[in-house]
Amino acid sequence: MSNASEATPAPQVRIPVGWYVAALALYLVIAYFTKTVLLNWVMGPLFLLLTLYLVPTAAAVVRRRLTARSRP
Amino acid sequence: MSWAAHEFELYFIQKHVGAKASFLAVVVGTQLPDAFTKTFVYAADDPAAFHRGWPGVGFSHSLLFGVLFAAVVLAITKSRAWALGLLIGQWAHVLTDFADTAGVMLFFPFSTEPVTISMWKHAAVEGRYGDAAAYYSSLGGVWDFFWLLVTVVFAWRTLTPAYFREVVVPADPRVWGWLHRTFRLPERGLLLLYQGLMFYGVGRMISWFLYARFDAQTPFQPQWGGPAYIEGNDISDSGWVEVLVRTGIGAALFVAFMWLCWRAFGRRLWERGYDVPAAVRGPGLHAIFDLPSSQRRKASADATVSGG
Repeated sequence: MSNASEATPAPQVRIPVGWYVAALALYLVIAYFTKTVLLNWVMGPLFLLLTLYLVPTAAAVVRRRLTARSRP
Repeated sequence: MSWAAHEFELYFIQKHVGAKASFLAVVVGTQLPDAFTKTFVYAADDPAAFHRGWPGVGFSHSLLFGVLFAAVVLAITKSRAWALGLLIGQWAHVLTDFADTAGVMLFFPFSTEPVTISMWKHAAVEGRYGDAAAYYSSLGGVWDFFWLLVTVVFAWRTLTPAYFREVVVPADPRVWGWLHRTFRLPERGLLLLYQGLMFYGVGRMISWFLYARFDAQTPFQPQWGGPAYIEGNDISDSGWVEVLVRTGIGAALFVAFMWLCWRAFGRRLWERGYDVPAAVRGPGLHAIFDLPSSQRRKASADATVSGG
């Protein structure tokens, strides 16, 4: 435990405000037209995690695999 | 009932409780009164009476319900941070909801008289969409906006990555650590999960407001007791003196009951509980992530033994 405490802290997470604004705009458009999908207590709070972490991470993994396959 | 205010007030509460209570417990506590009841409320013959009255599920909006739930959680988990968080969250929900016309039975079962300031109409009788349109056509929508402003002005710091790392996670390392390990979420993912409730509050407030203005096209009537186009739905026809007397008696009995419970078993339950030891908290997120759960439990036990 002391090793963990003395270790150098990981750098702070930085997410540009623009990404939040873009996610909110996307949320509003989807929520306005499909109310049951996002305006509920399960999907609503998870939307930010989905758009700013899960989708970009999954996209990066797919891109890496495609790049690796296309290499001779 | 309040809508997005329940999400905004979470961060305002977090600012004041700091590391004493778990943020996740406050979230659960805030959602507790509506979690198991809301679906049935819209299907009830008299939604306001069912939601807030007795007979009905109005007991979920009483102070005692929060105390009982917190006591059970404290007895099972021994976590003071969770018990306190649940209690604060549930009480915050109850005290926010007393602003609509249905009110809340604050001191149930010692008084079944709903306490209300009738700022806006409880409109569940209109169904979910109609309820949303009515709420965002009344002072309810203004109430949400007020809480958004309060949170942004006075509690903005609670939304920062540094605050999350240094206060929120160390207050509840077990559950945040579990989320990290189980769902393989790094700090960025956990931060987004934490901020997600604020985001949801803003998103639903704007979405429903736009729905009320452009889809439902309900008149915007932010006056006391509005909106006028909804029928009045107070669940009690008592005069204010009667309400005052019954609520006063209920409050006195509630306080006496709480004191007796504290003397009989509450204090022992609290003393058996634990706070997250400083040794386990470490310097924020980094220490928690590097600590296997077995070691963390051992550290808790050591701290309890040395403390006792």
